[in-house]
Amino acid sequence: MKTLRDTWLIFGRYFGILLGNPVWVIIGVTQPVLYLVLFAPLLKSIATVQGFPPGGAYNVFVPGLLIQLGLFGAAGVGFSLIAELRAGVIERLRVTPVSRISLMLGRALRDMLVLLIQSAILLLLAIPFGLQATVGGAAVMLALVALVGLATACIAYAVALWLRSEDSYAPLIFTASLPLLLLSGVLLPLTLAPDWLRTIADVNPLSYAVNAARDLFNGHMASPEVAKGTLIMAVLAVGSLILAARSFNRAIA
Amino acid sequence: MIEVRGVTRRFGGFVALDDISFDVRPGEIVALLGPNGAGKTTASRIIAGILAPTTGDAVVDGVSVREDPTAVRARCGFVTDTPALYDRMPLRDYLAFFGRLYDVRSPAARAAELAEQLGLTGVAGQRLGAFSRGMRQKVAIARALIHDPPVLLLDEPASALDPEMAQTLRAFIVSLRARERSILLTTHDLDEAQRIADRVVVVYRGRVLRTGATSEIRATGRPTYVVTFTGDAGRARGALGAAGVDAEPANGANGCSALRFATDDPANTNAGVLRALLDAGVGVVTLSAEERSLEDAYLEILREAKA
Repeated sequence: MKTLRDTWLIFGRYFGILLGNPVWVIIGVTQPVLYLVLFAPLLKSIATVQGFPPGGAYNVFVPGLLIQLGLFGAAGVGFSLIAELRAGVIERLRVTPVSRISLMLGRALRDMLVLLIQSAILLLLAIPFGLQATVGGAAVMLALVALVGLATACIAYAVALWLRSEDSYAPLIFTASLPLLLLSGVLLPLTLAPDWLRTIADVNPLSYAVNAARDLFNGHMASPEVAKGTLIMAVLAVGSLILAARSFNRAIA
Repeated sequence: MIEVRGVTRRFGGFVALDDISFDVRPGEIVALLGPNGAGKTTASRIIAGILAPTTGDAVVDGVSVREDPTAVRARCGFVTDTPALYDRMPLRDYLAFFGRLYDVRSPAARAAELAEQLGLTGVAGQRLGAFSRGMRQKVAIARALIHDPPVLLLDEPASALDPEMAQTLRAFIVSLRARERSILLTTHDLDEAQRIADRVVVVYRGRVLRTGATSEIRATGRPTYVVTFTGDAGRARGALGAAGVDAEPANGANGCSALRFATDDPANTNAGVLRALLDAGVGVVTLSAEERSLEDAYLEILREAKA
């Protein structure tokens, strides 16, 4: 109960910061929108190629774009943590009796909320382009993005606590994110990839999230791919949260 | 009440604290003194419940940091030289937020009460980013007191403040002593420690070198005396040297020169000094015991430790 209360307080604090600068939510969704407008049309011409998944260009690309938003949107959250560590703000919170996991979870929930808002904006903008989705499918999709975001944010916080330097954090986190993105089939479906690339992609948890997302948008909510992708991301999110909380405790001990 | 019992803290192979013990009683201000790297901040962080001791224990208001660090944190107020505030938050919201973190029953009312005590009521609605350095430090103190803790840990609370603001803060700290708080003051400002500390703990390389009442610590070492005189200072110093007294120049006043010397046997040495100076034709004006500052005593304790 105390952990929930503390998490709510910390979430409220960081949500307040978000309300003070809502423009960053919009700026954060700009890049995916540019992909939607300037890249997705290129896929229309190859949507009929053998091996391209069913559902059309936008129903294939937008789910991947949402997963990409979850990954890259949350990958940068460590910057603010490093800045707060340096300014002594985290130390001020640590001397309070607030639960340690709440200090991490409150922030991560704020990050998830931002991603959900951005994802909802992206979904609405994609509909005029030709995206077709059920309300239920979109809702589960948003939950999936939230799990991707929670897992990524927690890993990003753990890395930030380990490095404590923006100069080291930026190249490491974004270099590590790129192969995850490329091997998830976000930009082009992995059904078009050679066998060796698909074999490597099999160990990338994000590829399961992308497959689940595409099934959700194609109306297959009960498919094994949806269950598998959601379960993998849920396990990853819980594991990342435990890792981040332990890093936080270690960093302060 | 703070009780530090045989605390050792290692960081890898480095021993930051080596079996230190001391206590701070209710209604007492204890100054924790030592050079940089002596282990003062490590000790404060262990007492605050944010750093675990490798061995030993610290008990705060009856609660062990080993057994329940969360309960210890609820009993401590912690102030450092860096206020680290949320600049975009108004003062009253900021204090109320921390009040909620400490589960204070009426955080808004408590925030208003502290703002009044620290003379910040007029700016309670203003954002903290607009506050001066001194006001920010006042906010940090209010934050540390929001849950009315029995123990206060102050780590260089008045550094970088102008003298007037530092004096205001000192007066406030002293007023807290009257309300039976146990206050541990970590500082390099020996004048500040001398003014407000009841007792002193001197640490060096992770060990406690000396503990005692501030007046006892100031009396540490050989008593020193100052003789003021008119006439040639070189001749006076030579006369003392011939009498076996090693003297050094001191600050004279009213046109007089002065020499300082230390002795374990003032009854005989001082008589010999007077005889030597009078025989040399030096006009002695005064010969008096010198009141040692805490700084003098502290430096001597460190010199002995390094020797």
